[in-house]
Amino acid sequence: MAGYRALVRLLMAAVLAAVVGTAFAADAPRTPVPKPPKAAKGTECVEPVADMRRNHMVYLDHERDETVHKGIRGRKHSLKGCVECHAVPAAAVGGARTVGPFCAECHRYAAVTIDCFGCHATTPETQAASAPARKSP
Amino acid sequence: MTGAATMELTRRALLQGAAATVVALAPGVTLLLGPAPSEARAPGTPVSAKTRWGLLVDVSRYAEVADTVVEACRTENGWTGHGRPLTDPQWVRNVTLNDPRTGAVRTLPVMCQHCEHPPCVDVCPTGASFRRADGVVLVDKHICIGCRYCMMACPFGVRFFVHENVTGQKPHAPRGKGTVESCTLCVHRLDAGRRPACVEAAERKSPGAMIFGDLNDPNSEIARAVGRHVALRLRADLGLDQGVFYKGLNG
Amino acid sequence: MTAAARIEFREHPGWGRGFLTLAGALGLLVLGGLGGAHVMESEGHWVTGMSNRIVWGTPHVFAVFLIVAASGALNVASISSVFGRELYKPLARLSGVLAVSLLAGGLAVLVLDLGRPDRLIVAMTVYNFKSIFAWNIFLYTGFFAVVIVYLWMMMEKRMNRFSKPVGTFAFLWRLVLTTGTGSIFGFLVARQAYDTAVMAPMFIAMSLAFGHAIFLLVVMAASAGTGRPLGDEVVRRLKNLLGIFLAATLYFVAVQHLTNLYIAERQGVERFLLAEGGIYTWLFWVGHVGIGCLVPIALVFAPATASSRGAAGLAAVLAVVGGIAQIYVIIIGGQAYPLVLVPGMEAAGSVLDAGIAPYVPSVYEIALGLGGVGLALLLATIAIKVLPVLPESLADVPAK
Repeated sequence: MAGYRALVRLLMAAVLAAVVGTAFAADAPRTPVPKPPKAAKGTECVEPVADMRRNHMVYLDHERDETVHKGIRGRKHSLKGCVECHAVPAAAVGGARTVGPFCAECHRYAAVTIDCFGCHATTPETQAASAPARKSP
Repeated sequence: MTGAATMELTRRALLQGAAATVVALAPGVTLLLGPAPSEARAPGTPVSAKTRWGLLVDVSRYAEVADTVVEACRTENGWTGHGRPLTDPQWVRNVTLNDPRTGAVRTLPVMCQHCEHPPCVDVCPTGASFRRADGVVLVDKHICIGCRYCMMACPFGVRFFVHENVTGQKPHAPRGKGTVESCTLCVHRLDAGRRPACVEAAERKSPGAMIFGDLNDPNSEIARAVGRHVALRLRADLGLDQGVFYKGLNG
Repeated sequence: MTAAARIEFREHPGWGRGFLTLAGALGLLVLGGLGGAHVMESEGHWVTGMSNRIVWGTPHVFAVFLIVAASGALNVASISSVFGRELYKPLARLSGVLAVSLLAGGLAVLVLDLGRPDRLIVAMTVYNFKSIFAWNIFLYTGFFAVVIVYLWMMMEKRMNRFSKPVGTFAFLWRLVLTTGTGSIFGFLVARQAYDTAVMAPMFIAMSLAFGHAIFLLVVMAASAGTGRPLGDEVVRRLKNLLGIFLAATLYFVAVQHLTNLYIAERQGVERFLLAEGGIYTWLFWVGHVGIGCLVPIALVFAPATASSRGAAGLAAVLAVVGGIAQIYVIIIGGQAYPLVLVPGMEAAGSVLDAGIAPYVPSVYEIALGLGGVGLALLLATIAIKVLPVLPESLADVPAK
């Protein structure tokens, strides 16, 4: 019984050491902070950046149902709209514009799988680099 | 009245009369030209059941446009084959019907029939297979789980399962592995006031081979054609009330 | 009336070599199934034998078989709780455990074959209640809960008085569930091999037959494996029920095909299934009717074999084999026959319309199906070992 208690104490000490130890390791540059590529020059996102970072899925989810079920297109928060601005030239696809690198940067950091581009195109409708920030309906 | 005033009045009266005439005649002129078959709705307005999209195929004229139609759909929607005919999609396919008694042969396109009472919509466990208010039957691929029950239920075999990874999709036609797809009647075009790609391509080659329009509009070309000719539907006995009609199916 | 002897249920102590070998073998089957599912999911279904014409393949054959058997496996518990037959009381817990494990195996195969198995949560929360498939998803997940509660009522002494009402609820749930499973096919107007109301009662008869066959085999194996006596009376009753339910299955199958033969427009599909369908005809007559029904019925009731335990076990094995053959014919044979676009006309121009659809099961599908079987048996094996579900003795009680 005494031996059991000692074992538990040893384990707790080990766990504590591990947790405290990793806190000091945070300074070491092991987890790269995401740096998503900038969107096309002269454009502005349809929502403030901080709002978008937190809520982009909420906007997309709501409008996708409106589009798919009610046929309402070209609204402020369409996925196609995001791709238009955020697609950047990528060497992997021969310099063509693709939105892959933009989304992947943060999603890889946050370890959240993106489901969109199994079906949705990663390339904008026009390959031209300049696209209006706010699409007119 | 002085001469100048009379002339002024006359000029003004002429201009006013001309304006009035234009205002009076303009609606009639518009009616004569006919509205676009799928007039774009005001932005932000949902589709409504006031419209019911329909397709009429003239089987006697279809053979000459058969390959054009399939190619146009393929190009528009980006469904490519992999040389595996059993698993490759064919949103629209050409079927040759042979009457064994008479030897008569007809070619017709078979695509989603956009039924009023679609069996595929009834059986979908998540409701991903649905009928839009304006009559287009679609798959909401966000909630499709790929169970393929709708494919079991479709009497026409016009639903396809995506059997492999997909890249290079058209931005207006998302499609991906593990979900089911079918002819969308080019809803992305309909919502922009245009007609399906197959109809436009067929018309360039053989006008009248495929007609598209609003079945609920008594003045539309398709409504008048469906009312005037004997236009049958495939498996009418099933009572599905499809939006796709075939003229000349039985001779 | 003498007080009924208290039934002793006991786990199986120790980690014997027999148990580890069995669990290991079943575990390998499960791993094989997971591997097959992984290939299917990462590459896409083009690597399988399934296509746009044969939409549901070997995984569904196994899944439907396991799910249908799961429903029937609970019947033994129902007979004891709902119909009050004391002889079956010792078997009731094992019956519940087997029902849960068979259902788990079947559902695992079904979910892993989905095009988007990652959307399972969507399937369990977003329902189109016009769909019989949606109802089934709801009924299957509910079945787990109902049977686990039922097992609790049976295993907890203070709750024993609730065994009958909960058992009755489980019995009715089963009937609805199996009717729903048969109706998945019965409701389909598109295919002439389906589209019939008789599918529902046929599946009920099938569930009772397959469930009893598997239950008998598991009871025999578990008794032998744990070294506990198994009397002739239990075997006799179980095998007799098996024979009766196989006869009922045969009846409904006969009714379906005879009716279809009478309907002129269905004679084409009947000619295909019963005469010209190659593998499907063979599986129907030899696999299902012969090996799956007639031979086991003979083994069960013929005086020469009626009292033989070996014959009873063989009958159960053949019933399982024939059952899989029957479901193969129903699911795959039913899809192989071409759709009718314009009655009276022959369609050509595409493999999607013309001719009988080809289908060869791929190794991935077979692995997935067998993985489900392995999972079901592994869960049952573990349950028998760690839970008191198997009675100490199933030996015959001498008549007083």
